[in-house]
Amino acid sequence: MDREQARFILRSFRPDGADSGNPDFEEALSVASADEELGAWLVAEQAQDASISSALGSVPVPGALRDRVLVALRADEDSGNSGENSVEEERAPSGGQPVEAAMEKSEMTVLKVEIAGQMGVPFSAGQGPDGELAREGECWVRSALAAIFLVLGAFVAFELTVSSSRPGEEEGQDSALKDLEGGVIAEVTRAGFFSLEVGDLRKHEGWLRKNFAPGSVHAGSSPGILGGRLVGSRFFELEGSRASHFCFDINGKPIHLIALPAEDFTEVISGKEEPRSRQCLDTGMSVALWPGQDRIFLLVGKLPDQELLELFKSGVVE
Amino acid sequence: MMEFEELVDDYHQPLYQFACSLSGSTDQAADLVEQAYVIWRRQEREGGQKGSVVTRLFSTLYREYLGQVGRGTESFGSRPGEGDDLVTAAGPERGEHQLIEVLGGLDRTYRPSLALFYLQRHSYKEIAAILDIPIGTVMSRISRGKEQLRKRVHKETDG
Repeated sequence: MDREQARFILRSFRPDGADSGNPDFEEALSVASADEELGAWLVAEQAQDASISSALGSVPVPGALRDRVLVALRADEDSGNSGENSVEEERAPSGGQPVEAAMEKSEMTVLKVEIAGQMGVPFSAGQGPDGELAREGECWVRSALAAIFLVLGAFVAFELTVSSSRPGEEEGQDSALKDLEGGVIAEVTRAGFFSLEVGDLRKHEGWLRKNFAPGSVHAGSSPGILGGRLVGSRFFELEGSRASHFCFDINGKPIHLIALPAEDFTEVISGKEEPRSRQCLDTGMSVALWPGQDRIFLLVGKLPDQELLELFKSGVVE
Repeated sequence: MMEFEELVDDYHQPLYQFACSLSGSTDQAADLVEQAYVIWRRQEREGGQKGSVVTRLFSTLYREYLGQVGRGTESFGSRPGEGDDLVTAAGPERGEHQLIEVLGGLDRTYRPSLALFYLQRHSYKEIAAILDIPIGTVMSRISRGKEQLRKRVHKETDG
């Protein structure tokens, strides 16, 4: 083994001595001990590595991360258990379909939203099953709880019954719109966390714009929406387009505002200037869509669909 | 759940530091850690998993990160430092932050191997298992990554 070969191997030799007994390094270390120049290099290399390791090991971990992970694990565990139950329920005449199974259908023209029992619990920090955590008052904890409510409480299975589809709509385009709505609902359902969970709406908008997602909803959204507490935001990809997702706590209920760039969905919304909404009559879950000039806005929440629509109308969206 | 708690207690810190090195974003790092544990647990429930729990946790986080890169939701490198003003409460101090930025400036190829090496918790063989690459490749990436890191540090210092 020559000097350069030994140097190459010794670059992977950990500075804390954890590899000292590893025979893989034995020969390279022996070369370094006999080669003064290589030995000096190794000492310097180890010192530099130790310094970088120390800096990396000193990166502070958010104090609440541990609890956040545990909350997520517990939620997932519960979700796994309830998933088994839903399979059982599916066999019964009145049973619903698991969310994932429902979303795998290529045709999703009819959605039925079934709300789990937890949905009756007010959507606010400190009052959920994990209220002890929420009382810590940290924004992200509230958001984590919000996410759990979404995943566990909101959509166990769904099939949105058409309640207010407009007569005379072209069938194909209407189907495309429903698919768009279904895609958004699926994303909202899947969201287990928000990328940003602190700061005011303008900061969220700025962050989303930097990430090439539609960010400007502040100026256009209604007082009804903006009066809610911002829980968190994130962005996601939908049909190759980047969408923004804001979650607001409005009167104790999670209301999701999704913004999509209209230019990416021109065929879907062509000729559709009026807002539309649909509601699952069984569960009260609604989706409202506002096709604006630059952006398409959607609201998803457990409200009568006309109330959801009013959230758009009470302010000038565009 | 006690078993989870111990695993979270023991590994959430290095996982978070690894995630910070990969993504450069404290938000994304926290999300990655959370997702890694949840996905790991789901896989545990399915059974048939091989390798040590620690290796699988790191491996799961890394794969999830790669998935985000693939989906275009990764923020480091192309858009460094985003959202920093929003996460200062839990974010790295200046020195560590600079290190993370320097690490984040490295080629994506070298970053994971080098970050795991500097965390010092894994031998290069374990790093190979986590990243699912040959041992020789790990050594090569650590070596080249260090070279690149050195050049960047010198550039920062001189600049």
